[in-house]
Amino acid sequence: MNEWAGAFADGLVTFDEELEAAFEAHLRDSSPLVFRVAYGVLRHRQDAEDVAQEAFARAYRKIGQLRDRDRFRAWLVRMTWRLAIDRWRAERRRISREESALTLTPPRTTDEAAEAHERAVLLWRAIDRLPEKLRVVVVLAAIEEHDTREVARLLEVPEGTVKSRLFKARKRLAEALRCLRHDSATR
Amino acid sequence: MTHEETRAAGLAESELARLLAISPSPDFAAKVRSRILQRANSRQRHFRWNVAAAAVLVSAAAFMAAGILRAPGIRTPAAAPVISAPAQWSRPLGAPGLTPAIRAREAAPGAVPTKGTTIVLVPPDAQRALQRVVDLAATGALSAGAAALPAPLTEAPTRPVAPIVVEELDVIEIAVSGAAMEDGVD
Repeated sequence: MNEWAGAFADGLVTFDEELEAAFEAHLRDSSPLVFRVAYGVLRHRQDAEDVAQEAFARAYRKIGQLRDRDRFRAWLVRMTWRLAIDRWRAERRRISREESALTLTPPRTTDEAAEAHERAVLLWRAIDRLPEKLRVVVVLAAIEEHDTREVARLLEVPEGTVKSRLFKARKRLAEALRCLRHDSATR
Repeated sequence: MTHEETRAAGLAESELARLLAISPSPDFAAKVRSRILQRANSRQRHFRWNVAAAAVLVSAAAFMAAGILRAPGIRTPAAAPVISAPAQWSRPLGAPGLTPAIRAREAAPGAVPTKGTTIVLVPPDAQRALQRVVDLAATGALSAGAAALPAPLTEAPTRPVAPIVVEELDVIEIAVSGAAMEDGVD
């Protein structure tokens, strides 16, 4: 009986250690991706870090159910996106986020800073006009230069769907940018 | 998409990639571990509070149930009182159903009647009278049927009985007028 209990306890310890090691590997590999996904929605460094940490904390509880590395990564990205969208909808400080996001890029000259600021504001506004399904594809494709296959794996949708959504997103993005530039020029 | 749109989209994508090329702070992983630890401690604390609350609830329920059962008018079946018999009272001789083990247990000093054992308590006078009846019946001097039935009456009682005299009553006639009759009932 004692031998059986000892073996069972050893098995539990080994299982926990394996899970801990797997989680540490996920944390090391996926932290930048998860943070960037959150940042792509929130555009605020502290908020994005908070959402990314929350996503990892929730993922820690589910690590036993999702041991497949690719599926875990995809699941983590989708959960981070949802958490970030919820946070973004709950808070109404988007303008301050856009402004604070621009301060992360160090300006070289005053003219360059003003120009970069204007470009970024227009770009985020254009992205905000996209439907959520198109927006997530654009953001994920822009992060780490993911190709359509990688984006399809992260979203767990067919690659053709990603290509189709990306095409629509680019078209709408170009139209929105054109409209926004025209509006800002006429002011 | 026109050529202009394709170019604008390409520029937007490269600009977006540049904006998203940022990394989390160096202590990001440490903050995640700290948050996980806090969650685990919080869950443990909640678990302890839940257990304590459940224990308090169970105790309160048991206390209330005991109070209800002890209320007047509600008798518990297990609370039959144990009557201590006077020392001179004893069981009649030859009482059935007593095994040697029971006799030995009840003969022990300070022993009390055990639950489930039938005990007949007989005062000393009644015990002696019963013993005499049992002895007479055993020797045949006493017939159980004769003792149970009353003896038939063979002669009239010797005590004289006085005759009952009923005296005649005097009847007085009462004269009632017609007007008085009409004033009464119709």
